[in-house]
Amino acid sequence: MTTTRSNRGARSRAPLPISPRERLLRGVIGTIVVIVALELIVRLNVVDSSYFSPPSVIAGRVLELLTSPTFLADVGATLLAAAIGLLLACIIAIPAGITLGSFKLAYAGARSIVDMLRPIPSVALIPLAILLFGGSLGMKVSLILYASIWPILFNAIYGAHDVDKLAIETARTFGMNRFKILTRVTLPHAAPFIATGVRISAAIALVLAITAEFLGGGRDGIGKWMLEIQVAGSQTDLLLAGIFIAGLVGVAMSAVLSLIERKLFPWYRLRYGRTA
Amino acid sequence: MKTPIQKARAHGLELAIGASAVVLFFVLWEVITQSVRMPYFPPPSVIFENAVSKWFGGPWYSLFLTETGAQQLLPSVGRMLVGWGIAVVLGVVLGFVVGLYPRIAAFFYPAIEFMRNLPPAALLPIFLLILGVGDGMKVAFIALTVVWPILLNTIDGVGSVEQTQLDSARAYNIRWTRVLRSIILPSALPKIFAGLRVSLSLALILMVVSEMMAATNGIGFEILLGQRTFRIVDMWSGIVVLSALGVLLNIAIQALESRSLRWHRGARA
Repeated sequence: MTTTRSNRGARSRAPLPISPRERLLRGVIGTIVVIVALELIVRLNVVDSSYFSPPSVIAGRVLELLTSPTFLADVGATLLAAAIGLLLACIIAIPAGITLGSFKLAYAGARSIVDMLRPIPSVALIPLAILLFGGSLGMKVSLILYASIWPILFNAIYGAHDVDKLAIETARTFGMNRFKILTRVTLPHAAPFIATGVRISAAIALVLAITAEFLGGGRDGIGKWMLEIQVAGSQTDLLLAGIFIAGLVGVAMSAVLSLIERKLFPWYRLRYGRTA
Repeated sequence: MKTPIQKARAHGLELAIGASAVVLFFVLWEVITQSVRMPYFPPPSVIFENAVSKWFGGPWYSLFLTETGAQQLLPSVGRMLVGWGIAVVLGVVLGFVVGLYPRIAAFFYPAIEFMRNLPPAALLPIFLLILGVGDGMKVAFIALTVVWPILLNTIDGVGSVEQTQLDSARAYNIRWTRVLRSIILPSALPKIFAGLRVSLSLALILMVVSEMMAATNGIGFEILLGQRTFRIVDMWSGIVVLSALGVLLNIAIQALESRSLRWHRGARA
């Protein structure tokens, strides 16, 4: 742990850090400027309007899409696949990670296999998943599961490994058995780490769901919707509106998950600072 | 406390267990696929033999690549590294500019954060539309989707400089170029490298995505072609070669990182 925060007394001449309110204000202003700039660039024909639509037009399309039942069904299908994949990843990775983090020899054996499997880029497995599952939900879920298992696994291993040995010794002195030590000492300590892993994996799950739908010819989902629009052609505004909504879903998901994280483990940030 | 010999023994035991786990993994894989004939799961011996004869049987002057290997692998790696390289330059330079002026950076944070959260595959149709199906599209697609982790990490790293160090530098009237090189760069480097590592593995993934979508060569194309034409062994050996590439890239960036950050472990432990 660094002790950088202890000697901040002498920063009177330093530029003041931005207050959260000012940060928000500047963020809003900056975003408006970017949007207006994009609008002007397209309206003044700096870029070809068949390549990029003005934000005002895209905004109209976004509203249209958000009230279109078929598009919302596609968004729902993508989110469902991501959720199932993420849930399966949790079910496998959390117990496995806790076990590996608690037993040194198990870790030694599993690490070499993990090191071998992890570098396989998830998208390389898309063709295999298509062979096995076609365009079904199983195709998406299997890919999401493969890709989102690693951050949860590594964070669970790290969290379980990081437990204070003295705390375990103390618990043992008080007569706790292995199971009790696991639930009362190891799990509470590892939980915030695992939560961070789940948040990272959630973003991966969403990205992979869309990629699998797009490349694997899924039957439903945002990726399939995009492929259809792209094949139909000359609907740039609709395509951009869809991309915008996909981005919004991503931002919303990670915001909700970090909020949950902060509410569940308020002490975590204090001890470990910002978690990337 | 353990003595050094005990430590070395424990380490040796871990290595032995790790190695036997890998051997066991391959043996099980071979035995299961040999005994239960599954059409989509050829035995590893067949896959690796194919990988060697198809990709790596060539002479030394073509980096041991066969003709197919060179024709498929080199364009892929080229696109990826060029795209990643552009992203590194863009991300680090912009990150420094933005990170040195946090009050200005605040204007652009939401837009950058939004761009980072866009699913890259969703952007592919737009890139296809504007730049067509050529190499330029793939390079631009890779560059503009992997630049965000580098940019955000550089901003973060530059912002994490010790204020006391900057104040001391100012007190001694040290030139700003030197402050940049000797104070800001070293303290930003660990974060920057974290961004580089993430973006490099992302670049590999996006290279494959772009090749599966629109390409006539490249390793991603080769894997997809194997599946479409039911040359299952070809598909698997493509996956193996791609994974080997992933491992190599990871080793390379880690070597670069530990070289550049040799001082860091001691300084911040």
